[in-house]
Amino acid sequence: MTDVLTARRSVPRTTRPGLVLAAVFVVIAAVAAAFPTLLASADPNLTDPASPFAEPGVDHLFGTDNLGRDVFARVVHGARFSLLIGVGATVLAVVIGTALGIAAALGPRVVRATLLRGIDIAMAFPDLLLTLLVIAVLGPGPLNTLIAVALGMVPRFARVVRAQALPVAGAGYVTSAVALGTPRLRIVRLHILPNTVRPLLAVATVGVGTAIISVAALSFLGLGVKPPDAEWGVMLAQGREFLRLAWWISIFPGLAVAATVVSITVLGRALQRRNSEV
Amino acid sequence: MPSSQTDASRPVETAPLVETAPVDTAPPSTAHRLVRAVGGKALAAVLVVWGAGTATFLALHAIKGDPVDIILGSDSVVQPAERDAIRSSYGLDQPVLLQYLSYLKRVFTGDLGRSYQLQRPVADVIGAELWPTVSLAVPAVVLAVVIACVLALTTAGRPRSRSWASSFELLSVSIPTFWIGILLLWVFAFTLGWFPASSSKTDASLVLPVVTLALPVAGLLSQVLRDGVEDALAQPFVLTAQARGASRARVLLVHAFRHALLPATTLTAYFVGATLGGAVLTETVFARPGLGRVTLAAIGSKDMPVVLGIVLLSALVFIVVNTVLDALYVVIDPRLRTTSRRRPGTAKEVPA
Repeated sequence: MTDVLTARRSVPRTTRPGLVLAAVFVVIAAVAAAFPTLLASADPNLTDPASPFAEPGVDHLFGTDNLGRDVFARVVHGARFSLLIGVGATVLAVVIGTALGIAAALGPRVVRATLLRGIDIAMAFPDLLLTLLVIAVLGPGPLNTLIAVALGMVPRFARVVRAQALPVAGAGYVTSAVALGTPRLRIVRLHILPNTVRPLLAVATVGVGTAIISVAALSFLGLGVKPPDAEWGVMLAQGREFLRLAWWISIFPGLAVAATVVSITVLGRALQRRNSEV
Repeated sequence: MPSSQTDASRPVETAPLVETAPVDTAPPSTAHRLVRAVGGKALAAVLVVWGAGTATFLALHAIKGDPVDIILGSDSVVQPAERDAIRSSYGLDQPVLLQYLSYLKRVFTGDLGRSYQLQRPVADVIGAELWPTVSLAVPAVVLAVVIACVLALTTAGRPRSRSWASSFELLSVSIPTFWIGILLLWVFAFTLGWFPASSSKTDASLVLPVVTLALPVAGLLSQVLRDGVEDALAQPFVLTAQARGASRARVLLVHAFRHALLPATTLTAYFVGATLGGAVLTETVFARPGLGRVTLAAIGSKDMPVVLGIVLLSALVFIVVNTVLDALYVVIDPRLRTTSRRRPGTAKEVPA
């Protein structure tokens, strides 16, 4: 629920260097996701029995894990899972959330009441529990992780959209459109959606950060992406076992998650601030 | 932005596209109002718990595969007759609707059914693991509230320290809980050796998990609290207090803080969720027993009765916390004691 944060007035005004830094890191992460071999030439799944637990150094920037795999290569390649699933889940959640939110704001009375209750009930589930339940039904795996994380975010997005759509629905131009006899769906498409979605975009940007954390959390719990795939949560879970012996196996993937999420959050907040200042 | 938005959205509820909510014309008596308010809340609470349970029940019945396999374990070889016996002993041979109704009936009598995996009553399974989670979550919530209050009160209206606090808040909500845990383990358990690493029965072993669970909650709470304090500091009554010679501490504690508490109580859903969800991750990182581990095991093995029990429990916790905060609201805000006007937004309303 970091979107709550972004909405607060006291959100610090990030300095320009901070914004640039965040943007640069997001670009790096995106490059790592799209073309991992550009950044890391080593094979992320190549085991090397001769050098397990090698400390970070010249040969292996982030060291090697228990099987001698290059941690740096695995962190770089892990960006793909996190970003793809994180962004995909957010997009899915935005689509479903927008549809439900609009229906909850403007639909027929029965639909509105049902959806509102439904959202209330869904909000009573802790986020992670909702996601875990979906996994329980669908089973683990990358695609199911995407769906589960998305469904975990839907109730909140639906609320945001509903809260946005209500004032828009009362605006003068909507009243005029109603008076002119414009069909309801057309009003939603022409007037309500554009004015509702823009604020949602900033919330969704920060949502990508939350989604990336959820993806990593699911994999960390063994319910998302499965080993031996290089995914940040998977690496954290494996590295946790060897923390006493080799801190680098789990510290670097965690750093990657943290840096990515912080950068995305900073950008999302900046976007949100710009929206509210316009 | 949030306050202006919610303010803007309220009068608009009467807009043409949106039907108006029924409004009482004659002001009812105070007692009447109270009964209705409490009754309404209780009904909504029951509805939420029932809805959560029903949704979960239906979802879990959509799972492919035979529950008997889960009860028996995947690799056991059992005669069909025995399978049928097991099926009927769990009531699984009945139509889903009947199963649902009998589940409802049993839940009302306090019977949550038997675990498929552990062959024990669900209530026992949950009861046995409740304490480790409570002893982790309650201190974590207390710690989070303390950190948040201290941060909010010491940094409100002070640009420099405020930006430090903001950075802490950004980090604490952006960094995954489980990585905070791993980081703390690495630094304080393995490198410095101040605290034991894994679950032992000592109190010292609780310190790192409690901090891990508290930090994200503290981050968000302190931000919301400071917003509230700063909003209050801009109010005329603060100027009046200052003009009367009240010290900064007195203004903050006596006049501003109470206002800051109001928005914070609207984030119940987030805080309950963050604590319960965080408990799952924290227990895994620190290899502690507790409800989080039970939840994970139940989901991993598709142990439906246990999953249902956990869902009902967490919905119940949510409702109880919500109700307590609603009551606190009246204590905090004297305006609510005389009028029946509902406070802006329900307890779960999250400013967007």
